[in-house]
Amino acid sequence: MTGQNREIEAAQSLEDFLQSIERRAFKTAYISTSSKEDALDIVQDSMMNLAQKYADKPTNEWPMLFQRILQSKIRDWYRRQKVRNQWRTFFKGQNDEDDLVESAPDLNNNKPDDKFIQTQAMHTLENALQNLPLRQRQAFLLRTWEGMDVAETAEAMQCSQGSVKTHYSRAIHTLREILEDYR
Amino acid sequence: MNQSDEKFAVNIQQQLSDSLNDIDTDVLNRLRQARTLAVNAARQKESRNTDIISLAFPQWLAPASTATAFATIAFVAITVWTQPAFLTTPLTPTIIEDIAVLSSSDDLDLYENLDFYIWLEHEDSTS
Repeated sequence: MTGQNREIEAAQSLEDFLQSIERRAFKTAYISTSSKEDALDIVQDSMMNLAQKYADKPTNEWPMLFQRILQSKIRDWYRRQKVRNQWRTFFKGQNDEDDLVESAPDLNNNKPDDKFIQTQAMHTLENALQNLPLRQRQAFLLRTWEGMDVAETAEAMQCSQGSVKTHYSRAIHTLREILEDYR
Repeated sequence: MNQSDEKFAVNIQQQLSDSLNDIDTDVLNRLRQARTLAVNAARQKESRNTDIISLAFPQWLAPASTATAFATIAFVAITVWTQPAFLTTPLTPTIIEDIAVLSSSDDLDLYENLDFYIWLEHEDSTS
């Protein structure tokens, strides 16, 4: 096989892989951020990171590598939000005009995410997941949705297996309390 | 995890999986763009790596370098095989003495005129 053919085949493998995970990755990021734009940014960055740094790794390592990147990006997003919120809180008392603009209701109700959420059940589930602490949500989604075992989840979250079990157990119990209908 | 928890988790998993089909077209288009960008980036990186390797080691150089390697190995083998006998001769006491002289910090003139001093001493003792 020539070098060019190998290159085309590698690109096709990467394309297929990214296509197979992109919707799920977006949904995971969306549940974590509650923002379509931020979720798309996180997924795009994760894809780019995988392509630029790990495309030459064996294809069977890609799912775990991608999950690690995605979860790290989501954690980074949380850290940035935390800092931003601290600044917002700090300036809140100092500039009332900004505060009024920010808190004014959207009369046209043109929130872009509204279109995205199509069913009430899904809306409830997403809300419940969004209200979970970050680590609990990550553990829950990786174990339940991605089908990872405890060890894989620990690797993706870069924490101990004991922590995964604790986060997962707490997430299940919190969600069961909120989502009675799913029992 | 008990059975009830498992059933609960499966229900949520099903709900989440179903929701993947509800993602709107705008998001899907942007995901496709992101994927294309990522794949292109990987291809560019691969091409750059190939170019660097090609520049550092052009294809035509491969046979030449193989021939050079064989020639070098043959040269070293012949040289070792036919090396002069002195290289394999063990160090004699004379050579050891020379080393002692050369590594000494004494004045070299003393050693250059050593024969003269030995003769002088001999003359003194006989006279």
